[in-house]
Amino acid sequence: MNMLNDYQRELIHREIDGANTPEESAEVRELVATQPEALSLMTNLQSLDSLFREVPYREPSPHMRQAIYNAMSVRSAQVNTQTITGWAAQLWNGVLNFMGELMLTKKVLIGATTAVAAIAIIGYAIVGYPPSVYDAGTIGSGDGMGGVEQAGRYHGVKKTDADVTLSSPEIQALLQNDQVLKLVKSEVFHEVMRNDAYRLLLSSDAYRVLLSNDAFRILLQSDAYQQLQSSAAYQQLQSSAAYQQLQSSAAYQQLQSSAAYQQLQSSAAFHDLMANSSYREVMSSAAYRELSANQAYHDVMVSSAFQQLMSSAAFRELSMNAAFRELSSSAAFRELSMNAAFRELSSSAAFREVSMSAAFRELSANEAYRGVMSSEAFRVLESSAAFRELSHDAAMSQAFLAEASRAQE
Amino acid sequence: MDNAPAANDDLDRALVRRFLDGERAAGDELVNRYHRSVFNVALRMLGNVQDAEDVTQTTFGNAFEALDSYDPTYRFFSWIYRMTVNESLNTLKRRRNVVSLDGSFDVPAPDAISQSAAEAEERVGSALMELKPDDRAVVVLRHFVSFSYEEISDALGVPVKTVKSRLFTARERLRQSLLVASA
Repeated sequence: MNMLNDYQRELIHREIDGANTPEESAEVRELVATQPEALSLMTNLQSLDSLFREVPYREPSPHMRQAIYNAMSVRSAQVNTQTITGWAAQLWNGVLNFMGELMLTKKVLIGATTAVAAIAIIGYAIVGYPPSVYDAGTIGSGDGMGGVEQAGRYHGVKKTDADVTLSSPEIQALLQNDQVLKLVKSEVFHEVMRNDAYRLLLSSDAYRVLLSNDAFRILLQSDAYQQLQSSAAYQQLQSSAAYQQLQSSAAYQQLQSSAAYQQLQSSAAFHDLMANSSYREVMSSAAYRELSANQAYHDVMVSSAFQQLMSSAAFRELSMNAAFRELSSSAAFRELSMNAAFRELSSSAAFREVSMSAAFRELSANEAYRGVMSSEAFRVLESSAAFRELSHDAAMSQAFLAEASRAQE
Repeated sequence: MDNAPAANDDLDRALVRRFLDGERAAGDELVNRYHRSVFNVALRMLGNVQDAEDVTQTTFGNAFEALDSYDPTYRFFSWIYRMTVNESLNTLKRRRNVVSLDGSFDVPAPDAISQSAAEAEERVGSALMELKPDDRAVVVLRHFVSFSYEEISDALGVPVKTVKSRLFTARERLRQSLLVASA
């Protein structure tokens, strides 16, 4: 029996792939007819090919296709690349979701406050004022839902190095980059960070729709979050007057007594959620959707009691708490920005709505914004490998933005 | 299994141009043409539905972000599949950093497919995951998208000779694991 040489073996493979000329195919037929090894190889490769053909073609979920369409819409409508403000928006979205979801748990206020603390840190890093989307001076702020009032600037607790986790060599290198520092210290960058249009965007109704997403479930399961809940600051917050006031507010009571909330709380799925299981079931339930769309829920978020809570000393202490910092720098938080739900959020219809909003258009058209986008410093930054890496990591983005805030100071 | 869209370079280029000119429907058409096959390539590369959906979304996201820098002298479908494979390889790398093994096949069979199809998928999927990712990419593009050697070469950015070498080596391994071992 002759052994097949490399050329003959390749001929047989090529025959399977339909890549042979008629002459080469004739050569293969001759080989198969005369050499058992060739026949065996040919038969095996044909069987293999048949087996591949038996594998069914899988249909992706319609949900995924819609997410792609939406992402495309956003990208075609807004600035064409991932920008610093893009990160900021994504971070906001994720944290706002975090807040919205935690409002549904039994740890209602504390969970929300934890999320608000996250917003405080991230938002302060971005715009240097209390970052609630329901803050005074924003559309839909306070007790009413309409009108634009003069914003009162807030000077939060000054950040220290300890507030920012710079554990990654990449982010450290990035922050030592002259071009990056030049950018974050530039007046035009500061102007955007202070820009009213940007703040209007963050306070728009469209953003509220984003609250109904499930992007933060991983956070709920993290050890850091558990640690936060058992911290002294947490306990102090629980006993604070502001917290008590919020709990006794009409809006909060209305939320708790709403049919949708009761229905959700009494569902089996909700109990599973408390044990950190079946989370997706809850998120996809009609009850959850009903609740998240409930006006009472939104009323809580805009109530004066909630505003007071946010400005309380206890809240500030919580935001400075080591456990909270651990949470915000945890792997779970980083995972948040990388998981499918988070990406889905950023490509959601709600996000699209935001990108189409007048506030966003105003921001995009703003001279200061355009100045940053077209600056040489930004182009250098954007094309760097570190930037690209950073743009996929929430924790690093947060660290960068915090650094930007420090540079601002 | 080959339901990849028929290559139509002129159509693809026209759609890209129209999308860049602001016609949203052209982008929808591009997604409609390729999202299934991109998802299936990612699925066979990764052996996991969720990861494959993530990669598909990321691929299209990256593609639309970079569309204005797309060079129409290259074929769009090679470009999009190249992005898909690269994103899949990145996902595999990230996965390796988290878990010790990346060779598991975790694709639950839907009710709609026959038992024999489900078994074929399980067998082929598991065997694919035993291949080196670079070899797997060649097999996937050849057998699941019906790419020619030259198209695989374009998509992966490697010489045709390398494509053949990887394909033949991979098939030998698959032959051993799927046919000889089970005989």
